[in-house]
Amino acid sequence: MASEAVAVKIQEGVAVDAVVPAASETSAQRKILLKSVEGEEFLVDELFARGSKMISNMIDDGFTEGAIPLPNVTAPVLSKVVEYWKHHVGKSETDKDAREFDRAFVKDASSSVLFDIIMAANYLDCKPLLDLACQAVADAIRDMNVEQVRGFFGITNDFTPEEEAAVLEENREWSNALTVTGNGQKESNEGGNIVLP
Amino acid sequence: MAPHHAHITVLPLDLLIYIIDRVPEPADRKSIRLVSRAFHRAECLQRRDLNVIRREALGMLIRCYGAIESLDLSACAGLDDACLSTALGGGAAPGLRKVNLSRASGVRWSGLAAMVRGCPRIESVDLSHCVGVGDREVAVLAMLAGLKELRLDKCLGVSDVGLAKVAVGCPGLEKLRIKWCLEISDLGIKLLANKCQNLKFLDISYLLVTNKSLHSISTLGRLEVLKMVGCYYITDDGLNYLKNEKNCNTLLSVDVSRCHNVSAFGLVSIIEGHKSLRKLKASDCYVDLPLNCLSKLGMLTNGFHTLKVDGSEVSEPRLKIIGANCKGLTKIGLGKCKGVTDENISELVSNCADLKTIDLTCCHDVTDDSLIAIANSCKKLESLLLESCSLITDEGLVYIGTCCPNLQEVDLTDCDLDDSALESLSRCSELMKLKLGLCPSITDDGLDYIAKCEKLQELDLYRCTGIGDDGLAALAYGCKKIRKLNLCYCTRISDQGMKYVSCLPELKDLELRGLTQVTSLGIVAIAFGCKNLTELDLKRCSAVDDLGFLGLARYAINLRQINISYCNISEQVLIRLLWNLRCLQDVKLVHLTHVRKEGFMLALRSCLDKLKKLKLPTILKDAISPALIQILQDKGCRIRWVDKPIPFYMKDSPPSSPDP
Repeated sequence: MASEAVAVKIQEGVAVDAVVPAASETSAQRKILLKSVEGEEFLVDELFARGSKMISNMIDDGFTEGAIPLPNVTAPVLSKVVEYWKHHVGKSETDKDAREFDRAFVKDASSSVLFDIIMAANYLDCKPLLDLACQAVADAIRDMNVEQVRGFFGITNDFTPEEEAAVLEENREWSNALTVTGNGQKESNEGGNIVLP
Repeated sequence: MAPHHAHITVLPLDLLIYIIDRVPEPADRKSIRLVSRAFHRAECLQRRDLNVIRREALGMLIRCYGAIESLDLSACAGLDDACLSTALGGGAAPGLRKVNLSRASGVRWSGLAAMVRGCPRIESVDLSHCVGVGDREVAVLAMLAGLKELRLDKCLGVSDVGLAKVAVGCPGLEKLRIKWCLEISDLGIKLLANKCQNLKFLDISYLLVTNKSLHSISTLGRLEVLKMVGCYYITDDGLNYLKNEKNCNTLLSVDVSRCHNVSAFGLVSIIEGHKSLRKLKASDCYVDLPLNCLSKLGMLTNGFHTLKVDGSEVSEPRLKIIGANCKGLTKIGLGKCKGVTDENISELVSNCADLKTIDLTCCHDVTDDSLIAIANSCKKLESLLLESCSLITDEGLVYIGTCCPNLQEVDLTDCDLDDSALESLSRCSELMKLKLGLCPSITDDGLDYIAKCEKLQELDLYRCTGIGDDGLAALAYGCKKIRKLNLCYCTRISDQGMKYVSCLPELKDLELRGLTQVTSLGIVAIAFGCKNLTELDLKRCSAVDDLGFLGLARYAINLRQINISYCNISEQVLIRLLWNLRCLQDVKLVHLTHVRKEGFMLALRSCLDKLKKLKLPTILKDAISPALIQILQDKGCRIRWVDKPIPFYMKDSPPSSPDP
């Protein structure tokens, strides 16, 4: 049993576990201590903590004493991940509240928040959260042009002019040399390849 | 945000790939490839499947996407050995597992050898319909030790020798299709069965093999699917071999359609030997199904779900026995069966509530009572085929429309229905395919009802002469997902209707034969609006002139198949059309009376590399130089010569210039 005497720092916007509804029916309701990179500790129900495969494995391996350190995850991100677990773990896949939560979760999330969540979900091996965040990024960039994508990711163009010209040439060939199988096809025709004799 | 958090250049490659995987293709992908080197690399690594249409780009694409596992070259016109060797021979795609070269008739053994050298891990090869492929080519494929799936349908040159090489070289073979490879005999099958004990799927349809082959096949302990369509020399004795203790109960699917020397007793052998059978297809072979044979169907487990006995005699009480013994049936084929009546349909469906597909094509005695019975029992119905069941009226369809919410496919060709039938069907919100050919009583009001079926993808209105432009307006508004539309001979349609059709964004296949009121305006609208159009049939659209074809040449760049027989196109425009449409592979050019013989030669020369199929009138056979014909055939193009008289109204055409 995790000791109740452990100090829990209250972070802005984070629900303290005292407010967590006892959703699980198991009688042995253990709590796991997770420690972010800054040293802040989060007390989380074991049921929710198992939303992460990595933590789940650690628990099974007997790592129940003290806090599980997560050196790759910062406190704000960890609190978001815990939020996610609370709404998803133990629920069915088509649960309506969970879907609503997802929508709100990614809506208006800035790119850096999304990337942090992606990295954290990858590290913690929480596939549903990873899918959600990656899909959100994909949806955000799908209609963007090149400059906008660069802005979104905060990167600069590292192509040399020759490389860039080569990729542009490839793109020209690419568009009507390939067809796309499967549904959800968008227009493949840009009208830029007409050759009149 | 915590200060140590650096910006996103540190997102690792595999996560980038994970994201890009979710960005739909292809227009969005182009921007992504230009963002940075990391993105370009990620996009190149993400792609696992490639489907190439233009062979000039093949080499570049393979170099770019080195991580591909599956390559589809079936639509790549003019593909030849040199191209294949350059692209794959150097090991640019080492992870390639699956290659589709169906109909790539220009490919021979040297191209295949290079492919095998460069991609030794290939597991699946499809060479179907490459009629020039023979034993030499197959011997090359036999070097792929890990080969699991091989499709050689219609490879007419393959004989026992080639089959033996594959059997010895690829012992792990699991799936083999050698339909129509007529040179193969019992000897080849015997060796195959000897060496390839892992075979799960075998298709020997139309081969001239005898019962001895079945004796060999019966030793395959893992065989699950056996197709023997049209094997004339197979008899009941052969099927009896399949009933042996050694490998009881492995077969899941058997197809003996068109085996004229097999009777119901042969079927019983299969049933007795393989009680876990799931699919049994025996169309067009039995005249009579004796009752004691039918009741044997009760020996099969509940997994038995598909039965096709088209063309058989199923009078009372056969369908009742089938229903009583096969309660888990989901698909029944009774097309062209004699003796199908309302009573025995009722008896069948009352027992088989799980039926999803019911095929009653040409069961002329079926009336609304059958439909009511079906609607009452089969709530899971998805596909209902009632072609030529002319006694059906809208009253029966009301029941179907109300009780069968999952209905996806309905075939009412030649049922002479009117608009009220369509009103009933409009309740089927899942409807995806609807065939209403030869129903001249349908009018635009009927199409108003159909427009409510938002998921509709295929609509066939062949010779529904009652419909006009207003009906098309309704369709364009309501059924945005239509991909295939047949409006042949619906002569009331004019350019206005074409403007509506151009508003269908996903339209790929459009047939407009005989629409004499449609002019170039309409065709240009289609060309401009339907950007995904790949197949277009304009035969006998006599009012369309050069402007329309120029519009196609300019805008319809995804066209792969076009039929402009009997159209008024001039020589210059024909040449331009065939030259411009880079993806064009299948062209029908019968009776273009304004084009001289020299014009045809020029036009064909301009698209030598592209064409795979060509249809020309026989009068041109001696006019076009044999050298040109030979080149076309070497590049893999199949030419069909058609002997049709020129219609009288086209006879006043400019005379061709004197032969050189």
